[in-house]
Amino acid sequence: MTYISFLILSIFVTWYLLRPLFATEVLGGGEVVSDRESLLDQKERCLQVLKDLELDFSLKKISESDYTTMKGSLQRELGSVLSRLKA
Amino acid sequence: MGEFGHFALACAWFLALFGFIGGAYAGLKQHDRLFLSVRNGTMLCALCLLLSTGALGYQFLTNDYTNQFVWQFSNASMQAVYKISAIWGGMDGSMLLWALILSGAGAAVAYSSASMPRSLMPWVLSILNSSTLFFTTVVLYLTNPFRYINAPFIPPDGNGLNPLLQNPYMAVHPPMLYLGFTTYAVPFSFCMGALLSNNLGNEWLRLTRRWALVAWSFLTFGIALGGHWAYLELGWGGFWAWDPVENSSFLPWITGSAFLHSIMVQERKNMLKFWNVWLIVLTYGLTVFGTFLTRSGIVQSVHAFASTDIGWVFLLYLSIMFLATAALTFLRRNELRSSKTIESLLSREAAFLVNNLLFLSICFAVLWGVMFPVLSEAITGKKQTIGIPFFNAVNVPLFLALIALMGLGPMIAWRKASTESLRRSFLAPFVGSFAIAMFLLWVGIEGFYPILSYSLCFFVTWTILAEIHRGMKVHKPAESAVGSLVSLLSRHRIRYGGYLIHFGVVVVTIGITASMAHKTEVEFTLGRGETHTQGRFNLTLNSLEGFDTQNYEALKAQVAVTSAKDKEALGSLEPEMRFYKKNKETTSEVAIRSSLREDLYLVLAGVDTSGERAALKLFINPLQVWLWFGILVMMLGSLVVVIPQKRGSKV
Amino acid sequence: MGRSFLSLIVVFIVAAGLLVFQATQGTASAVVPLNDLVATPKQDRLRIRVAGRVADGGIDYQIQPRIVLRFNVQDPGNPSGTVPVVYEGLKPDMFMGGRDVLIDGDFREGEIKASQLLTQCPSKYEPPSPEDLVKSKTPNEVDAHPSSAS
Repeated sequence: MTYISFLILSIFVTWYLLRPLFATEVLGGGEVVSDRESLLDQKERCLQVLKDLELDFSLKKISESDYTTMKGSLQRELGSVLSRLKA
Repeated sequence: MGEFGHFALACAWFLALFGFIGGAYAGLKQHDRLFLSVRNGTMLCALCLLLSTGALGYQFLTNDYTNQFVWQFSNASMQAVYKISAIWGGMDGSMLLWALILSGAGAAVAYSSASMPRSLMPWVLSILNSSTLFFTTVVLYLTNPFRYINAPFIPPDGNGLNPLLQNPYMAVHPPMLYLGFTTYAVPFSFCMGALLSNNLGNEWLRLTRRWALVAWSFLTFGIALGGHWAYLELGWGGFWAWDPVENSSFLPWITGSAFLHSIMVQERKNMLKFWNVWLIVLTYGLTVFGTFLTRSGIVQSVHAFASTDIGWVFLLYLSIMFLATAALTFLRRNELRSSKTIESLLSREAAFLVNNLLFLSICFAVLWGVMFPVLSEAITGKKQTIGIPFFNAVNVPLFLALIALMGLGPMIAWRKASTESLRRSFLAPFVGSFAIAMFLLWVGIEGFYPILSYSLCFFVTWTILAEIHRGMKVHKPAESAVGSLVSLLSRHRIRYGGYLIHFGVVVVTIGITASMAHKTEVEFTLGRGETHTQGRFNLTLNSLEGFDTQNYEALKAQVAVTSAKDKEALGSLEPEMRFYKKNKETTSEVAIRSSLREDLYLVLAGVDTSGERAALKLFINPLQVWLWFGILVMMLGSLVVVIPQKRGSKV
Repeated sequence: MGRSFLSLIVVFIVAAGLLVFQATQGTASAVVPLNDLVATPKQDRLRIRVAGRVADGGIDYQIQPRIVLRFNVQDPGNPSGTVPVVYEGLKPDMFMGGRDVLIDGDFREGEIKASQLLTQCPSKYEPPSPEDLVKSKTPNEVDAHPSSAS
């Protein structure tokens, strides 16, 4: 009984482990290796930081020149993320 | 079943090894197929450890004494929940639990890794697997919980778990703590992955911010559970003794808190990259160091595990990690360098730096206190220790400085704050806090530190409320107050969630200050019907009875609590003294009456020779529940910050 | 980095160092082996920490007029030498003869006046071994269970 359980576990583990190496269709279904999720996350993060930046500026926690500089670099980053998402 | 558990453990070991080597190779060669295989392997590893732990649990539940570990820590009469808790009641099982939770975190990362940066993730999984590999190695080769019992016959019953541990807290405190410790492996792995793949933008930071906060939250809650358990069980009226085991859980909390703050500077201004790498490595290292400390026997503690020879393995692992980090940061020193510097000491950047330096000073002080016996003996030949007075003398001022900073920091502008803006922000709260201090003195509160503490808490609360008010004004000045507030909080949820956490810290600080600085401690004896008056309370001994249960004999005192002023009945306290029949041990069960104002904490010390008079020790701990309540506020704040934002929110 | 950065760090290192040094000096206690106290009972030692085992006899727990616990502590390796201890406080949980304890206090006139007393609970994490189990069984009971080897 015990040895059967050993065998079942070993077979399952080996199969699931080696499956991606031999599958004819690697990048299909839910196993797509892409950056899409992380790009979406990055876009959300950029938007949030922009909002916070605006709040800080209106609360006078950041000088005008710093605000324009940081806003500019964030918008550039956001632009590049959006264009990569479209691609 | 034991053999199956052992086999599953061995499978997990192989999978972790595969993940470690395979992940590194996949990262080096950007081999997608191998990466997916490693991803599967990481999840399989968690499955195998789950099966292994399940097997051990099964052995406990079925009283399988062929397993030596089960025999040592379980017996048939224990409730099922304690049989499961006994898994981590001994060292072997506790290391298995650690490996399990660690692999679980790895599996969670692996599951979502297919849609994360391709260059980074294989390395991240490799490092995560290396951590799991280390711990499964320790379990498999050094602390195996699946040993066959070393006796000529299978015993009919087990030894049982120590009665002090047969307590609901045993079911939650260690797993919660381990969740905190092990989850720090995730930001650590992302950091190492970023270094290895030379991906040193803020991507790794962004991806692990949430994990770092989750780990911190688990750790905070786990430590608080431990403190609460100590308070309820140990009968000395306190909740923290700066014991080496307690300290070893506290050290990563300190550096983890620092990390949560310094990453904000990196995100905003691309500074402190080098600093943050070492900070997360230090935090992870301290979690490993903590397990080393509690199992190596190099420091004496009342709740350390038995001293064993496994300490050297941990030191070896830590040394390798340290050397690897040093090599990598040297290799990537150009990418880690920041173009910006701190321009003014009166700036947000400087405030964050001071925050980190304060945390690191506390970390150093606690580490010094823990290692002092070892160091003093090594250097002077004479072993010395430092205890609670040392820790309080050093940490109280440092923590109060942090509280002050909690109020000051958010007000200071980035890069360079003008004196005008500082005056505008600080004048009112500063004057208000000074007035509070004067008021407290006038009312009779004594002690420099308590008064300072309360004033600073008032200061921080004022600044948080002022921040919210100011935000409401600029955000939507035309709308109703409530509408403006709601929209402000939801638009900047993370920021205000952070303020909520800070407010929780304030509540905790008030609770700690009051319960420690204004504690009352008295001893007295009472005969039946006699009353003792202490402050607002009358305590009357109604009965003193012995009784018998299956596991223990007990003596219980029933004490009625009434108001001294108007004799109103306020409740009853029933402390006990118990004598456990099996191990012949005595414990005392404390009786506590909690209210928002104070805790009444009553211990039955004994009876006199006639058996008619009870000796009692009473602690009155003002505002004690504020400490526990404040922790809950902190957890609520963490929840607010951590919950992911809905996608596609309007700009 | 910047000069401000470095100067802040230096200030903190110095300040923290001073704070820690001063606190250490003021509160450190020497860890003294019990045998030293046994050997030189006339020598007073203040602010010490001692680890030892509670001797089986001589435990006296009074609750009137004050709560006072008196006992003798011995070195497990040298049970003949004992040192009396007096502790004005509650008897700690699981305190009994044969238990290991950690005592903080002063050694004066041949007696330790303890300010803090902690019991180590060996059964907590240092589990008994099955050999203990075998030794405690009577010969009849051992014979009654078939040995796993046969």
